[in-house]
Amino acid sequence: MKKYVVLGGYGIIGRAVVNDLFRFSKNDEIIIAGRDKDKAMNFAKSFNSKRVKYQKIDITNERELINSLIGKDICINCVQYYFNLIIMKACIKARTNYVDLGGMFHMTRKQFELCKEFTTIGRCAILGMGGAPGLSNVLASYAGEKLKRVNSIEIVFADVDYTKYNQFFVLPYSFKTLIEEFTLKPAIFQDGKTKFVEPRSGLKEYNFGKEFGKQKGFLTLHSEIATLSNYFRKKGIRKCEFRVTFPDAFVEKVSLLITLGFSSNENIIFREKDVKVINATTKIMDKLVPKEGVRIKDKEIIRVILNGNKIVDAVTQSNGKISAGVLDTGIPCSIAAQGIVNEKLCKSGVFAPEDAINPVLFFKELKKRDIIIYENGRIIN
Amino acid sequence: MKYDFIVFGGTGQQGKICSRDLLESGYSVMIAGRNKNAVKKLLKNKKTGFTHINLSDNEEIINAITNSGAEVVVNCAELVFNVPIMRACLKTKKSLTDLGGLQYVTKEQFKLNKDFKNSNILCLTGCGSTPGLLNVVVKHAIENFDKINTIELGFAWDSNIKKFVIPYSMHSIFDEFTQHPVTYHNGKFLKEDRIVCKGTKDFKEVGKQTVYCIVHSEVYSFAKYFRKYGLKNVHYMAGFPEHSAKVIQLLLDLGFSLDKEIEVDGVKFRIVDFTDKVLGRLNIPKGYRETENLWAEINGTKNGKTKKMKVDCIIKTVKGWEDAGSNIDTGRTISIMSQMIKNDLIKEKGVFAPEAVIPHKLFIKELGKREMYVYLDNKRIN
Repeated sequence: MKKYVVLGGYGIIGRAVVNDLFRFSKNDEIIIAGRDKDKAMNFAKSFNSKRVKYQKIDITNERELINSLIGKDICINCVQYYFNLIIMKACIKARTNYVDLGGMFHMTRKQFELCKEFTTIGRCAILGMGGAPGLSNVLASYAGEKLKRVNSIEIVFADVDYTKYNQFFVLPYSFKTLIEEFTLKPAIFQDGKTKFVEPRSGLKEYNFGKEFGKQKGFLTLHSEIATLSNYFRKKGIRKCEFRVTFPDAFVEKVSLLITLGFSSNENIIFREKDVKVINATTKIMDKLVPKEGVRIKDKEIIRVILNGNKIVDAVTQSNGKISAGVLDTGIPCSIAAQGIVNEKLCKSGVFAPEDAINPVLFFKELKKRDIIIYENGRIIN
Repeated sequence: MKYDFIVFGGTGQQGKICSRDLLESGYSVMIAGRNKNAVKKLLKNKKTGFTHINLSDNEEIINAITNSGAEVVVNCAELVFNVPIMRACLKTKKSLTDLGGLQYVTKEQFKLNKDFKNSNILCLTGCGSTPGLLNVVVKHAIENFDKINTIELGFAWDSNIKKFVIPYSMHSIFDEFTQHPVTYHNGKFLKEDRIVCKGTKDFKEVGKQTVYCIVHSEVYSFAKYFRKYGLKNVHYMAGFPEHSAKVIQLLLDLGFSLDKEIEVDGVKFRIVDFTDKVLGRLNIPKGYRETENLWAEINGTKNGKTKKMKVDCIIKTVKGWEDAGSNIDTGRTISIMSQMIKNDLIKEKGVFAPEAVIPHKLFIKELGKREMYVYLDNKRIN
């Protein structure tokens, strides 16, 4: 019996990971872990299975974190990326494999510096193994394999949502993540060099076809730029960009909140005590994720375009309870974790998804979960 | 030192404007508020004092009034404190002015009329721009009628730079936008739907704007004072420029206007107070100028003939008062009215709205001195 620890396992993405592990890793133990014991316990109990356990872990307590990871096969990190390094270091001390959802470029680069330590302990870490980064990297490696030269890579994702919401504004995921996409300087790889440009710049319209239509995307900070530019260096890559698309009205509203100062990292004072503006805003905004009980009906497309004309897409649709964007983030992470544990997906060290994942096997696993891969419009899984 | 006035909410936007106007008119002022830093400039004037105040503590209010020795109390705080401050004035036997209480608080305030009368003191409620200035100007215009049937009134404003700047108290704005507007219709008060009760109007100084019915105390006080003229209908409408209305609507939609407590970083506070603090940090853009158009349209009869009259009060950003924008019409109006009480120009005792007791000709003259201009049927009268 293998043992999976899912940190933040009761969070939005963590839940999708746990669901997938429960469904596809039938003989193994899953430990839902996080700082809120009640949330972990309630979610674990919902499976009504001895295989699903829960544990209170304060990840800022190093000893507690290490102890909880000793003897486990893998740590799946679904908490905010600020904690990636702390958790990886704990995995090294506990001699545990590791997978996470990404590190917003800068953190990812720092995480690769731990490669030697993971090699020494004979364990494997895959970084940025959600939808994008993650699935997007594997789409790129799959398509790039078929090309002699890879001059450019563009990655973009888009959503189409048919859900009938009973609220004015719907937050697709954590407000903090959203704000970082809107405010951090995006990295682009241009003329063979990494550059940083203005937030929300590089607006470009993409035509995703009949269902997703035309959508506009702006550049945003993503770790694919750090890893794919390296992976395709030998194939002569000159350009790599990542864009995120949102409806115009959504962009206008979030931009307005930023302009008004609600995303500030500064403090305001209440009763002589400091409160970080962004923390208070996040608390207010995170209530605007779709309410439980709403029947979610949406689809997400992750598109990778190589050399301007080689197009690979991953299309995911919601299962009624969980949105497509959450599924296509949680499922790849779960598949990779199972791969590491069962099939020795990677040897020892720290890897980007394109270095560790076999695209064909991976796409087969995605197919089992109704995530469809298209190559220039043709289904390939 | 004995002060002429004590100004509650004195470190807020309107409190600062009012205190400055009082000081520039030669009076001494005790500023009572929470944020001493906000009035650093005013405290350089030797006629100014400061006292920290928690308005949730009635004893503190009473002590502050007593210790200041002030003859007149000026309340520029949020409307939830109107009644507690009135009660403190009853205890200390001091007359007061305030900025109004929409309709629901105003009604509560009028219930204290007898107590104020018996104590031989005056409470003048709604002494800002609107309610306040506009009420008195409408009263002035009504003197041209024998009978009146309908009064439509409200405000509209715009700025040269289309950037959001807090127009006035965010608490009041959220109240106005979330409560059902009440109109006076065929002699009865009616609850309306804000979304339905709207239209477009063309204003003298700010052009075309969408106007919404909002809850405001003029509907109540006009019905009370002008019923004797046969008044049947009063509609109050607010006009915000698109760039400002968009922000207000967004904050309402996202829940930033909620009067609900949350805990963040180990501190408990109300969401609406957080919003107020964050917006309060916004800088006024360089060169930013506002124009406000307070307006009223009066329909009635004179000598048996139908008569209509248009009232406009135009307030622009004034040199030297740039950081106040067009808000000078609120803070400076309450200053003028408070001075009138101190100078014994109002003889009545009890609880009144300004249109009932303010000497309107003198008041309109004072407005002119402060570059706030009044027009009747497009003709400037001050």
